[in-house]
Amino acid sequence: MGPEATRAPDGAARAGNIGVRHVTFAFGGAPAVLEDLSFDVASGEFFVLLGPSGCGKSTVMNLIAGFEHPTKGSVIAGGRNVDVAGRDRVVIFQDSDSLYGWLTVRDNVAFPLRVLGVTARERDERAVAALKLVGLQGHEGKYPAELSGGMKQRTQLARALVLDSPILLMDEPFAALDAQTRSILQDELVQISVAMRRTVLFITHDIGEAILLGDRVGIMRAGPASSIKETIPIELPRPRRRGSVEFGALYERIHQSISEEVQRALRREDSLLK
Amino acid sequence: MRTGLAQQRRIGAAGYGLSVVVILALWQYGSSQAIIPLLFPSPIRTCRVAMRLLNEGRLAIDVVASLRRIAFGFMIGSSAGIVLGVLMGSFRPVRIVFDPYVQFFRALPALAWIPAAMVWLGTGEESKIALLIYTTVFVVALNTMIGVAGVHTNQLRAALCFGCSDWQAFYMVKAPATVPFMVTGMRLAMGNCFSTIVAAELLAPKDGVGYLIFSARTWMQTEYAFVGIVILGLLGLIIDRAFMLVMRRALRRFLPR
Repeated sequence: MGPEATRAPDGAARAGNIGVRHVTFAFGGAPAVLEDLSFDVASGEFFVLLGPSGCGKSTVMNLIAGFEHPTKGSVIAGGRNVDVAGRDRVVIFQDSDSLYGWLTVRDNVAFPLRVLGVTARERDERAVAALKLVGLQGHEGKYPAELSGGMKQRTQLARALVLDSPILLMDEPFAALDAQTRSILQDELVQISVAMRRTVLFITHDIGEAILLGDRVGIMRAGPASSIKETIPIELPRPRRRGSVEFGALYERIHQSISEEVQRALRREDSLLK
Repeated sequence: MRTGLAQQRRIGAAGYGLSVVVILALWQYGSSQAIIPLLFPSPIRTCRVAMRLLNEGRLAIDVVASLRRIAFGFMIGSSAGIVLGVLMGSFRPVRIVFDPYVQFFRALPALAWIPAAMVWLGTGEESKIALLIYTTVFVVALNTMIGVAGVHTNQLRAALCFGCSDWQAFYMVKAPATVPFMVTGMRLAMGNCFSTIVAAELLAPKDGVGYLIFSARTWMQTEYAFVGIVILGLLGLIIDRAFMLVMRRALRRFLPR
């Protein structure tokens, strides 16, 4: 299925909705990183979380993944309260250090199936199919150390897709890649997420990336005590190109919103230093 | 590429051979300059004594005795060290309790335990092997602990996302990720064993390379001591290389590329 494919609403059948309700989070006795944060992501939606550095974007992802727990409020995924990590919410990390260096690319992708007790033959078949989907056919026998940065992120993506999880949580997965590889992977991710109808929560600090990928962009306030400042629907037809007038207008609007937050953070830092 | 590699290997082997020749020449020269040659036997004299001991069968007996003790001590000590290191790396309370003791005993040489080993375990094989276990266990435990505690957070978080139980996360992620640290600890421990065997074979000896070295002192047979020293060094070198060769073959995918 090509990038021009329309995103069909798939409702609760995929159990891919996310709800973050009045969440406050603090590490120990430190000031709150997040305060009264609320937003919803519909099943099958590509939601991008954007904000200045240090505003707590990755903390939001950790809360939804179940790696951290809210100090107040609740996180709901697929209609259930998030308590622990689970295979209904698979994370794709910024760094490829989550890949297992002692396993081949195929075995890394088959890892979640091994945990499930799937037979070796079926594991191999499904892993090879997932690798084909991300364009890594022919590299099945390699080890992660033998892959480029882009190939490692493709392996992570294949490993997430092999499970058929309804929710993909992506924490700046392309941040460490060169511009060309990033652009190729962005296009591929849109195609895959549309074709497979997954809910995607994508974290980035790159405004252009957010507009290229997202159905909706949530802009976070500068931390501490961050929350969602506004959500902006991206109603541009796909495939999106950075050069269009509409793209530029959206870019300006989001840039303005984030700049205000950065200025606010700087003013706060200045007042603390005085 | 292949030709270049072969050439590099040939150059490496030639350099290695040349360094051995230079060392032997310096040794020979140093010995010839000694006021009392008896106190500093030449390599030729040492080699003659080694051949004599080999022909008499005594060298084989001593080498086998020492290697047998090292093998027992090393295997038992490594196994105990891995178990202790895994527990310390996995459970913070265990680490808090045991870490000061591991650091304390790690710094204490096996030589310091010889009197206690004699009193507690007698002068038989038990005390010698106990000293070798002692010199192995803490270094393996420490390296294993560092490995287990240092597994990438994201590797474990990914495993949790895939629904791994604690046990699955241990044997599918933590244990394989720790293998390089275990191997490093065992390699260091093997070196410790070769240092300790000399001290261990001070305890009422009847055989072993350590015994060969110390019995030479009684009769002023320094060339016997030199044979023991050279043999022990060579054994250490060969066993280290063999150990790494076996580990690289058996555990290749777990070791850094």
